[in-house]
Amino acid sequence: MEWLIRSKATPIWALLFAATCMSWALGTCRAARSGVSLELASIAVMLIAMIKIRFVLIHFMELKHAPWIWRGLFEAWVACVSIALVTTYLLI
Amino acid sequence: MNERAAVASSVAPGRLAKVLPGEEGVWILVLGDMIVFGLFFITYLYYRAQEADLFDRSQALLNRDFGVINTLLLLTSSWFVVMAVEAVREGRNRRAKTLLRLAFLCGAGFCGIKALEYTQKFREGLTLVTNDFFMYYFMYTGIHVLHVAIGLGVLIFLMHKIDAARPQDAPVFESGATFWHMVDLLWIMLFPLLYLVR
Repeated sequence: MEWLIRSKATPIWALLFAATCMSWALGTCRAARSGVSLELASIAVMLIAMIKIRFVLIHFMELKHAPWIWRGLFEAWVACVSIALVTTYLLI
Repeated sequence: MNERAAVASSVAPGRLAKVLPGEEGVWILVLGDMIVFGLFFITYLYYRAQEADLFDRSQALLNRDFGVINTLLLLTSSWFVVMAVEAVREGRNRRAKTLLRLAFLCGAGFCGIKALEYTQKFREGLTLVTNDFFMYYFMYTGIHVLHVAIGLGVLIFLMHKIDAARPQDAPVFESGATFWHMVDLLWIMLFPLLYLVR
């Protein structure tokens, strides 16, 4: 089972797992009790989700080894959707 | 098999030429799907803002534990699929088959939990026509679970192909893996939007 620890995907999976638990804590009443505002917690969970998506794209889907045009298209998706989500949440 | 992808699969990752894993067509499909879901996400937040109280009250009826368990199941299945592709490249087909089976089990677990969740909602009288929140909830999660079902079909296809696979066949597995990872990443945003954002 040494290969499981050795795989480059394992630390990424651990990070994504931890980030999911963090979002869960932020999105539940625990955040409200700790004094974090709902708006701040909501923006944080959306941005954490987008960072997780970027990790999946770059590391699991191996876009880090892809031609710049392909990587650029997906990086642009991450940037555009992040900006649009935060703007929509804050302004509308 | 696409020639560029074959080169990518046969060269050690550290010295890779800049090559897209798998077939280009799969990446076009994935990008198209992601653009559509990106619009879904923004549309949801826009209409949520129009009826914030109703959306918050309806969201409180969802079971967040189901949502988070499903996120962890898909993340774990993606991890198994990454290692399965690594195993195919190294010619370790038995290991790859085991990893694909584990990934499939996680994906099937996702569908099982979704079925349980839908059943509970229907028993409580909550359906697609209850209100706007539940319309988006059932529509988006329904379209997503359809993607999961297609992804499970892809994993079955890969499990069928694995016995006779050679390291040069890796692009077939990379293409399937790319689709499966997309299923995972769409849920990564659907979960916080529908279950957590207030």
